[in-house]
Amino acid sequence: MRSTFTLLAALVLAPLADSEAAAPDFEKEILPVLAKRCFECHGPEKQKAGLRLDSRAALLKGGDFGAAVVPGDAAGSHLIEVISSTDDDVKMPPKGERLSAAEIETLKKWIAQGAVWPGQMDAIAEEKISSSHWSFQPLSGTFAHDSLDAFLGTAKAPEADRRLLVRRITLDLTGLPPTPEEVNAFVEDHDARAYEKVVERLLASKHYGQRWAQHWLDVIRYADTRGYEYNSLRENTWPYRDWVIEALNRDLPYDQFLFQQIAGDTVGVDPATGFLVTAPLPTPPEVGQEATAIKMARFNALDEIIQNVGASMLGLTVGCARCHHHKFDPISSKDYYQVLSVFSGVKYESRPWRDGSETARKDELNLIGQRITQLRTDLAKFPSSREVSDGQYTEHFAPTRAKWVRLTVTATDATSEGPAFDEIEVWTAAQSGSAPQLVSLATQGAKATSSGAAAQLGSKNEFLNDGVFGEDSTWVASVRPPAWVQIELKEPALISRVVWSRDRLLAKTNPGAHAKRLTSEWRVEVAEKQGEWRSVVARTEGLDADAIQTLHGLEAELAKLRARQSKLSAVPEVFAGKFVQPEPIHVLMRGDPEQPRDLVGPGGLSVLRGFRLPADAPEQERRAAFAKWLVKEAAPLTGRVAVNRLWHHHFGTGLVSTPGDFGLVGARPTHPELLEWLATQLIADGWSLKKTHRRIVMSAAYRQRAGGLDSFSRAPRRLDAEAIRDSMLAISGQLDRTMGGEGVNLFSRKGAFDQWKPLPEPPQGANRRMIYHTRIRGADDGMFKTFDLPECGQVKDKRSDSTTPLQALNLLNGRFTLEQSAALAKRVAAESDTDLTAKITRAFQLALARPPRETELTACLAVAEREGLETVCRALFNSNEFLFLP
Amino acid sequence: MTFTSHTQHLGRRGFLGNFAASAGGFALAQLLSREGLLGAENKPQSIRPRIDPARPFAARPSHFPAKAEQVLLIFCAGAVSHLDTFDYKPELYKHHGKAPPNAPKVTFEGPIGNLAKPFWDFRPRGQSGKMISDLMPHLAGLADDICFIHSLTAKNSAHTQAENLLSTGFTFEGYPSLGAWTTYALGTLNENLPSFVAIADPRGRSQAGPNNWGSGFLPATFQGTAFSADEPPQNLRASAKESASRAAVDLLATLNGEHLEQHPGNTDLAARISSYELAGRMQSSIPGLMDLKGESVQTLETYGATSSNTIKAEYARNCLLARRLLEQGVRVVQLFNGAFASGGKLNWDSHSNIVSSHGAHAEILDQPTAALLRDLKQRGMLDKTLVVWCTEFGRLPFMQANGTGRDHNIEGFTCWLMGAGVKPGISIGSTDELGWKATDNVKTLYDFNATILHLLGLDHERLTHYFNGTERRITDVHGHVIQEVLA
Repeated sequence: MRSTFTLLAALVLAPLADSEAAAPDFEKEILPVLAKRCFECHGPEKQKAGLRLDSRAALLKGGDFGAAVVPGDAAGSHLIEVISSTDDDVKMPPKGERLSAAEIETLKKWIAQGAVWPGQMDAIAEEKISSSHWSFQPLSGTFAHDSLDAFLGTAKAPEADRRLLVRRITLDLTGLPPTPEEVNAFVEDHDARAYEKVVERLLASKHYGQRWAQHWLDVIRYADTRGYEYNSLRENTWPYRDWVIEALNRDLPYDQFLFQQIAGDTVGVDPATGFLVTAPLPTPPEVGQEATAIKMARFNALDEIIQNVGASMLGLTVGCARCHHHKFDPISSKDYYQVLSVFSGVKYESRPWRDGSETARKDELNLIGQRITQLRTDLAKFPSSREVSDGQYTEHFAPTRAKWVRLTVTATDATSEGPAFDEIEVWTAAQSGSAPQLVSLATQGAKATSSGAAAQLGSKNEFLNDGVFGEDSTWVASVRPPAWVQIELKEPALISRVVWSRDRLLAKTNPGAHAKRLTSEWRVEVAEKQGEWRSVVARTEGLDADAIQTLHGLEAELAKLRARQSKLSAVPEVFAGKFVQPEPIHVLMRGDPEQPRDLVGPGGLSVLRGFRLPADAPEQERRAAFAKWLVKEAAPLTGRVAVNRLWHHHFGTGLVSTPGDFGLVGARPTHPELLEWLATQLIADGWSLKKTHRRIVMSAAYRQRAGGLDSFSRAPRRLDAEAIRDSMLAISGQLDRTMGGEGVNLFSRKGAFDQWKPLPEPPQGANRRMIYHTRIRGADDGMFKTFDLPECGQVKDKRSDSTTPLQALNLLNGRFTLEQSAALAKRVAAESDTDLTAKITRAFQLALARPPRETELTACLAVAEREGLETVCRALFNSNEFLFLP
Repeated sequence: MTFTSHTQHLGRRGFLGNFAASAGGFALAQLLSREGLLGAENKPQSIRPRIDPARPFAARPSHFPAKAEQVLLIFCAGAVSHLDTFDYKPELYKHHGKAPPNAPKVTFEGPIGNLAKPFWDFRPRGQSGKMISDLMPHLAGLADDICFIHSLTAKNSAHTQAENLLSTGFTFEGYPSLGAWTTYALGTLNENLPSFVAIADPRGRSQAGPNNWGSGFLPATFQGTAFSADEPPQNLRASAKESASRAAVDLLATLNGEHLEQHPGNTDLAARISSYELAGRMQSSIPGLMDLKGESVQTLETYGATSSNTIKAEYARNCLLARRLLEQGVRVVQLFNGAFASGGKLNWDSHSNIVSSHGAHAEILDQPTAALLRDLKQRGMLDKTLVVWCTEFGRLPFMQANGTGRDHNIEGFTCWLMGAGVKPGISIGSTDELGWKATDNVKTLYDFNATILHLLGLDHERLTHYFNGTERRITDVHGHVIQEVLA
């Protein structure tokens, strides 16, 4: 293991400057001080903080904290700062006597006069980082073997029993157990390709992506909330989760899989960049108002992106180079800030989602627009008509003179609350040569009154006709219906239309939330003289039955089209980062934003021949260049990391047992040749992950019986939380296999802060696979959190695998288990003979892929007779055989 | 008066990361790797607990002998004002109403107001004559038993990040809590109970909530179990018939027994079998523990459990539960006082109306906590129990612009210790004359946690776990044991 960081000082001889009379004598006054007091730690032997002081070039280049000396500026030179300081944390030398005042003065003078170092005036320090560490080397390309088993060499244990094998491969590839029918089909299939056929079926299954996406999401701690104090929901995170599932299912080549997550926006794939913004992040109120804290929070947010990229793609702890050069790996602080510069334009926000439906939407909108125009023309032929859309209610009626207009609401959609309006408008009739005019605004002299505004909510009548829409300018009735609002115009006018709305802004941004407290029954009355009310919307008066039907039909169609129109007009958003042209990025001394040093441009890691872009490179170009570098120059590393991750999940431990750290402190591969070969094959296969899966699971090593030989002796290992829950549902027959879309939230939150509690009743969709549950950071579902479900705070390259009595209590007594046990009992009762033995046998086949043994059957029969079949099912769901991947 | 500049307080070498230990970048790494010393760089060797999978909670030896075997962590969420409780600053009376010198225009929540004297009178307490305010008269009576640390500093002014720092050593999400580290290292003294219990405040969870008792990257085994006097641990009982539950457990034992025969010597399978046995023992031991009927009326009254203030009464019951858990050998008990931010209503976060807000919270905290500590002392339990009273940071000597509340102060605040291994009746470190910034014997929360671990016989530099590229510890790369604390 050898890693080198070489400092090449190109020395060019320069003519010696005439020294002034007062200039310090370098050889006698400067060099001896440096040599005696500094070189021990900052010289040829050691370079603490990456700094050496034994050449002028090195002084100028400096270390982790930037230049040590700025010629001509003694006060601005770090060297002077530290030798003058008395702060224990800063002072140099750290131990022993301080430099004398005279020595410090001389050094100051020397720097002020240009830090003349005879013979080295034109020297520049060049930095070149190289490493002989295995994971940074190119892939070798020639191999002694061409099959996985040949690399492993040692004899394998015999192949596992077929029932075990099909259970293993099915759970492993899909996170669900095989059905008894699938088990039987495999057991009875004598084709030599029987196993291969199973593998192909599973790799083609949509459940494959649902299973393996979770492994990826773990690493980058994907969740649907912000974390920290508020831990509120992030809207529209799920398209990224769906994108990962879908990308794996269609075997999107891994190089593109990486590229799109870094720069998917450059190729029209928006959800993929959700990868960048999965980290928890405090919201502005949680950061506070201090400028230093705000700046630090921004750098923290960018660091989280680097952590994601490092742990998942590069298998490097790049983040360690934030405050100083990486302690172990050949990654400099400059490297870190170059990578940071790549992502420095990423904001943790949503952006419009070009989901491919743009053209179709536009075409449909055109058609709808035409039809709406036609409908309105037709409706105008009736004395009155009604239009409800976008949260706006419009009553058209025959022109009539009025000074007072009153809307009385007799019912709303909410049973317990009164109506609420953000605005009510009165429009004049179109007259020859003039368009209809709005006449009800307060600024036009109109006056709003009502049956009462709910003052405790800050509501007032003035909100009704202030021309301002939205929640902050909403009149709320003080009473339940009936309630009324009224506009008194400045002067009587010939009017033909009244419009009102609940919350026009919300109707656009969140139609779901808007659909509360809408008006459902009402009447409109007008008066020309005070108190002489007459109903203007006697909608069907004088119409025959046919005409009434036609009117209602037209209104209904119009309402439907307007709803569709508004749905199509809303541009979908995805929480996949918003990109802005970034501010200049500097190397930060000790990671402190208050101490910027050299300006850096975007780039990749030097040790992997990282690219360089100018500091003002356009934002998108930065990420695209980085993504290309990841799968080109860095490909040997990203490829190794990828195949190792697959191996890790197939076997429980990676060939490199630290899947997120391929650096010097990370584990060495147990089978380096095999890892190289797998990575080489991955790239040769066009980065197909499915081919790599196939290569692994088809091997004899994978198929061998538990307790086999060498490091692959497969001990059964506990299923993870998702596989346990999903399996229980699949076995009980309750699994909802709906794919994709917004998550199902099993929690509700009390108050403004993070107080998520499981809902008392599971909501619709709770029985979907767990990957489709809204992932609330840190929330305790009372069941699976104890099963090492990640808290989603830090990147997680592998889950812990613990055993605790709390798991036992949850799985034994939790409501979920009781419900699924009952459901399984019911299922087997329906699917088998009335004979109890048949039912128990069926339950075993569903849960364990085998019939019960005689002794088991006897025990189960006794329990079933005494305590019911569901008690047997409850024991099965807790059994080691069920909980462990065989 | 001395004021250090606002941005300098963190100590440059301590900023963010582990510069001090970085010592030499690549060249050193190269040297070390050549010498085969990588990872050993001047570092004390990690001591890894030997955890028997079948008995993850079995008591394990400490790194060195120590008096404290158990720890009670009393956590006051929301930030208690040190200036109105334990850190007496007579200068504040003189400067009351004046603008603070060299102050920033805004602090965490916004624009600042003028200096304000303590809102409660201070008087000397006990033999030591320690000045403590009238806000907490009962706790003040314990002055001679307490070791105050007045010069603590934190790193982040936001509650959640600061709670994370206090409990996990990192401001970020996802690191193991002190209780998790402790039980990971030491197991527990009674395997029939959870090793680490987090007792939530009756009003809800603190802002960082489960981070305070989370296991982070340690095995989930070591996460705290949340329950309180009025809320048993979840799923202790099934809603099914008792006989059915028993039958399920018996049948399970049969099934698992047969399965194990096919995998002889598999410790994971064996561990899961014993986890069910342990769960069974918890089911029988916890209800008795939560049943306070056995406590005398006098005890209940002393604790305040009969108070008409229902929150105080419930907190008092939590205090009683804490005593009972410690008596039974639970290794770590974390007792919360205060929930989440709520304009100072539900926790100590008194940005406005500090008099009514702190007053209400002290009324809940004071009597029950003091009764608990006296009870522990009287029963001789403080000989082996360490008590930690902590809050995530302090409050500022000047008001906010609203004139009625104090904003967050991470540059100087007070926490205290008592019990096993702790020198009683002393005060360590101090803040400046206004009680704003720690100036004398400045301590970090890393130091604080290092000291707690030390009192439990654990070397904070050797209690590590490999995660994401390095050996992690609760003190990151910092922390010095506060020697003055040690008896």
